[in-house]
Amino acid sequence: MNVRNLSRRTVLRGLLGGSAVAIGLPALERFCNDSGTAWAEAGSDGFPKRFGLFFWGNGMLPDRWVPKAHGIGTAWQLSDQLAPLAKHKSRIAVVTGTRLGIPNSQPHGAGAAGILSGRPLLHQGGDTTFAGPSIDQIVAEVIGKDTRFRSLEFGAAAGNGYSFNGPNSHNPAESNPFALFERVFGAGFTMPGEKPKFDPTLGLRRSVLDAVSADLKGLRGQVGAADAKRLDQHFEGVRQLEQRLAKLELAPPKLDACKVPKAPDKAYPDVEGRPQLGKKNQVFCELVAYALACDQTRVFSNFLTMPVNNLLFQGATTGHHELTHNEPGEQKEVHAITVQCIEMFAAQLDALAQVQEGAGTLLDHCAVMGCSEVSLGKTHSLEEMPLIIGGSAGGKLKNDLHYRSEGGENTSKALLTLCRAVGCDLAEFGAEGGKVSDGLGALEA
Amino acid sequence: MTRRRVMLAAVVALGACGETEAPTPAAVPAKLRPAPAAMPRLTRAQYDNTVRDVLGDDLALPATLEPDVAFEHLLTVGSAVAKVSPRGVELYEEAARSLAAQLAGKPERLAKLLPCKPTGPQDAVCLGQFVAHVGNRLWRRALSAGEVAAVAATATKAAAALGSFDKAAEYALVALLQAPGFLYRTEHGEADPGHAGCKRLTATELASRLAYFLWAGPPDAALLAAAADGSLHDPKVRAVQVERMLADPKLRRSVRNWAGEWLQLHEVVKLSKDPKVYKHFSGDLGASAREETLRLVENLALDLDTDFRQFITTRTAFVDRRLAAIYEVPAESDAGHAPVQLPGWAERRGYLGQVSFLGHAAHPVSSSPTLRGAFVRRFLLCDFVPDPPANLNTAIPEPSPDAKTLRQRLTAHMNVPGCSSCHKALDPIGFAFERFDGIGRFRTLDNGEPIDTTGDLDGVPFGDLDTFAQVLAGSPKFRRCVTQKLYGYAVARPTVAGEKTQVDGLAAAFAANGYKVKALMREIALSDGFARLACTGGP
Repeated sequence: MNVRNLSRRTVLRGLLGGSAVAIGLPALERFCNDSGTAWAEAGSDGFPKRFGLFFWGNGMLPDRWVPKAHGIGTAWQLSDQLAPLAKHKSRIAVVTGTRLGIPNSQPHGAGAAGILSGRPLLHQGGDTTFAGPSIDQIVAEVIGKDTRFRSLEFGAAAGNGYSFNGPNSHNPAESNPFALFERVFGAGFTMPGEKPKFDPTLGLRRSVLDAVSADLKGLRGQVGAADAKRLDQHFEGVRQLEQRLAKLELAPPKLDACKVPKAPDKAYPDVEGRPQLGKKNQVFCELVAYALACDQTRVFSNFLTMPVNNLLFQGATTGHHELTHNEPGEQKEVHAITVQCIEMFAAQLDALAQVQEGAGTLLDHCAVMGCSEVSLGKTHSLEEMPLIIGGSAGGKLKNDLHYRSEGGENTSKALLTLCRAVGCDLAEFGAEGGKVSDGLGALEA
Repeated sequence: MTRRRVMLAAVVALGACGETEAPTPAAVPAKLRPAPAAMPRLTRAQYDNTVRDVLGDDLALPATLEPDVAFEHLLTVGSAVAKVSPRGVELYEEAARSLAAQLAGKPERLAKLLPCKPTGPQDAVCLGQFVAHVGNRLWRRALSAGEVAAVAATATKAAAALGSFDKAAEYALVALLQAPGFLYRTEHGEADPGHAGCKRLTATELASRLAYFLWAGPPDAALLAAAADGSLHDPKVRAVQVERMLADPKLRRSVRNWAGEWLQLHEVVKLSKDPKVYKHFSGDLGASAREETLRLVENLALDLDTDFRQFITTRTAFVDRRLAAIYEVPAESDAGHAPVQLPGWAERRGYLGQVSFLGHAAHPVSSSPTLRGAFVRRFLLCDFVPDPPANLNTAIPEPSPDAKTLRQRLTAHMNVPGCSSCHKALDPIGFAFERFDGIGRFRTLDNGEPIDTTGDLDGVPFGDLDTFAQVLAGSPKFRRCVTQKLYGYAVARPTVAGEKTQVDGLAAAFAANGYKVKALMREIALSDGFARLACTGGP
């Protein structure tokens, strides 16, 4: 089937039983263009491109983060805080010197919205939300269409995570590895290359979703503009779920790299008051690597820890956030925690690099964006943002690169480049001070 | 967003803290100008209670649903802007299937929900009756014939594919539980005969709003019946129903839910302290502190039905062993929370003497007059407090021979330009609590120095927590804030400027009725603003 000829409008029309498209197009329509180029394109070696997000909270220490020299290959060396990535130096690009262009309207919160959505944090009624979709969802809108899961959000200490589809529309992250395993490899999973077991409930579930869609459409005509937008978002989610259920009845093509990983433990309780971040993260990283290898999803977000988290890391005398503000001097403990976070990012890259795909590895077909919501936690700085890109998105991105932005370019430029590299043909990224229409050419291969 | 611009502008232009959030309109409206219709998405608590009330309270509820959204610091108000993400759709589907399967797996339970005895897998009449009956309760309104048919169509397919009436009922439930009629509290309104050009909630919508306000759950059969015949619009019938609802045990559930939202108890549960600094800390202290606060609210609002200002001033504490150790009082019970009287000489009293305030509005290793002052302003006075400037080093100076106590160090910090405007509005309130450390234990010295707890609240002086509590409890702003928090919870949407007179009037009634929460709930449930909708020309 040539999916490119099936435009979103056609799909909608079909779902609405041929009626005129009175509901307008769902809000998500604006993420990417509708010309057909938005559809995910496989890389030159035939493997799809994947996008990953790896996020940790509370930033880093710029003095020990930024590599001294910049350039490609032997021109640069890893810094103290990036040292855990030694094994992957030839598979990453480090971007330094960029800044978020959005106002720092709330400690941590503004930075999280800025780095993940390119937009200012939306303040509403004394509370806050993202003003637009986060990058994982922008990308998933394009490259998440053909898989069983549009995207997967998880993390060892993720809380609800920061995956947004727009204001007040939050994809909650999974903090329990076993639950993620069940979701991906439990009921409903068919080994690529095998025929799915006949499941009579799939048709019934779709039939239910049809009825829900019709109800949403009916209700939409009776509410004001703001609520209509909310229903559009809901409708879009139902539509996507219907499409994914329909795919479960097709036999997925064989994938050599696919295997079902070992089931994780049911729980990873704290040990002496300290969360088992490393162990949990390791399990999550392997799980998601196979979720990608089995083409269950092409987009993931690993929210290792959240902004303002006060977790007791291994070896630390008190909580992370507390230390960023109150550890005096050169902040050795904060440094050690940042290094642990980067070790866990390295574990994510390891897990992807261990899966062979064609002549290369899964990591080669990924762009994994490693970031935090601030640079120096102590001052909540949005200058000198930490950004690491793992993988080359099937050869679209340069690796073994330290790109130093001397003029303090907008961080959104790097995000726009990332979106484009994995197949999201955006004209611009972000809004207001975070809006850019040019990427960072230096990152492109 | 206009609203955001207004707020940012206020922060930048005034550079001040503690201003009332709603900008005073040029002309204060003399009359209520009601808010437009809203479409709240069930909060997590409302979802759970609706499932329990209608389908049974022994069902295993979903582990995860899309998180609630806060607006005006209330999750119920945020429900009016909360959307459903793609993951949220999946979670609703999973939850619906799990709940329905649980019921289908217990034939005796399913039979209780059936208004008829099915004659076989394909008994279309009984199926239709089931859908209409359970649908009416789950959607809080009668389903149209078309809606019943749509749900029944899927259920009939299930009966055909899976061969039993129970499976048909199961899939009817799967459909009902994912429908917008269940997930949203839709309010379309109708022409208001009493106010030309305006709208009001329909009787059915009014029943729903009453039930989610007073019970945090769906209307029962009696309330739906009063809605179905339209009699609920009759003020006398509405008053009788409200009285009945106020007397129902489900009121307690809603009062607890409201207090939890108001006082951020979902955050208190996550309380985290450095155990090396605070040996009384354990992972379950937050849950214990949350329960203490809820017990005090219930006790004053429901058990005693008395002056709610005692929430701030009472010497009764509800403690378990953990809290008793922190408060240095004997624990009356080995199991759970029991009331104890705090000694007359002790400074500790009321909510402001509880771990859920003192420990929550503090740092993991120390107290924080700033966080405590900000909390009092935001949640007890309903003042607007901007976030701290993010790009400054907010660390306060280390102790020095000249500035040993936290108060002395903060006072030095207050003189830093850019910090002063906010700290001056927040810290003087927070100094009242400085004789309580970061977990809420009493102390007389900070870093070896005596602690100065004097200060003033918007010009009214106090000496310590004891006198601060008197000042706060007597403040008209506190009274109005409690009223606003309960009103927002009741209407489940942001309060509009045209409702100012309504909330002012309710606050005055709250005082006139002896500050009784139950009486205030009655006033709100019977108020115009609760049942009316916007007039032509907008709010």
